[in-house]
Amino acid sequence: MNKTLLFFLLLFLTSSYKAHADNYNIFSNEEEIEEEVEIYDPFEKINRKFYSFNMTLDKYTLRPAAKLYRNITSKEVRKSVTNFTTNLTMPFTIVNSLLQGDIKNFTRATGSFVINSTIGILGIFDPAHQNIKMKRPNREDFGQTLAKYKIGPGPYLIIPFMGPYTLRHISGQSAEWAYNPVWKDGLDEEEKLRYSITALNIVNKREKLLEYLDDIEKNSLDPYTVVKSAYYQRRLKLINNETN
Amino acid sequence: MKLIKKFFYSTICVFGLVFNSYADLEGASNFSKEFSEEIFNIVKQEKNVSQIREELILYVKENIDITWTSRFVLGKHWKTTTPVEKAQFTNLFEEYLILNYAPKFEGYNGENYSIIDTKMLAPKKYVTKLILTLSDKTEILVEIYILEKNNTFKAVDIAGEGVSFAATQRAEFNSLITANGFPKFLDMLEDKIANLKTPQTTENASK
Repeated sequence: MNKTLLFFLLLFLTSSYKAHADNYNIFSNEEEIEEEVEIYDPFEKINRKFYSFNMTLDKYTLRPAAKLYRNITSKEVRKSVTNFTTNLTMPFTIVNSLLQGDIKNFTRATGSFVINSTIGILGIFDPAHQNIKMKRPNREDFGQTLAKYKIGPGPYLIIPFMGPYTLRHISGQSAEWAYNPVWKDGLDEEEKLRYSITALNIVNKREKLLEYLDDIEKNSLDPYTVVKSAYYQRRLKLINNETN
Repeated sequence: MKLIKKFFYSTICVFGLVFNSYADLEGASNFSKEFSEEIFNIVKQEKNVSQIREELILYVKENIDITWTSRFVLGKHWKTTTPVEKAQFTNLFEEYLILNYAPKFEGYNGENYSIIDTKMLAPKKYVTKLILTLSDKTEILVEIYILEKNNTFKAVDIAGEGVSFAATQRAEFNSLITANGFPKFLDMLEDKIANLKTPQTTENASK
């Protein structure tokens, strides 16, 4: 109940912010080439502090865990973990495709979920795309659905322990948490399994970003802005279904 | 009779325009094919890293429009800088770009690519989409933005999974210039270049 309330509160706050022009196609307008497109970041001071906090935390916990995970697993195992966790999120894509009225993506996601959950043994394998060669569905979340309903992104936020979000994205994410079985109370054994899956998913995702984040920290003049810009561009492409 | 003449000439003009843009699109498509193929050929060679790096730098320098990209990444600050500052920045930016990005193409690890298509975004401006397949079969969408000037095609930006190099660089540089001013920003860029030039021990993270 509290989570649902939080979702609607965040949704209300989000909708009160206007969408900010954010076109990253560098050829969008020749006259605009010298115009700066700014990301709405009114809490930059505090965001920078949270960014440093998250990066320090990452340095001593998540990054070493991701490196260890890479050292003790093969590429095939990691691929299977990715397949499994991607398949677990497919119901959200199915629901959000429906909410967005995207029947094509709804069909693709449903087909992919059914095939991979059965023939693919709970999604560990990916026969829907590797063997049957079905077209991959676009990943959809509640944040993207809110964007389709013309709700603006709101301010950019760095959430401690979590990372970059916009207010719209975190609102959508809150809704997912509210309905995600992993976060529901249950039997001890079930809970252990659920939390293990969540932890595995986090470490697996961090492993994929090892080189990318190391590179940003090492080579950038202002890593905070680089992460902000990259996050924003990627979210925009996901909303417009231009990447998966 | 006049009407027929008008119709005849306008038909020729329309066909001319259509064929011209088709030829341009083909030119952009050929450029991106050659560009990706050549980069892969250089990277795949069984030479030592420094030789591969030198060849890559030479090839990339010839095929990117550094002036256009410099102007883009400076954004609104381009107008307020003097010609000397512009030239100074362009040189530093090119060096930074090479030192920062050339090592990323080193060490071929079984990656492969396939070109999806090339589209015209605006007159003389194109984008080529390709899929880069990593050794573990992970697919990454890569977009190459191409500009045509005097029948010559050059790359001005590369985006991976929707994240544009030029847009990211622009956000970073603009934030630094706004906070510190242009001269201080140039000093910071110079320091970073010096830092990137110093040899560092690299971890071989991929297993």
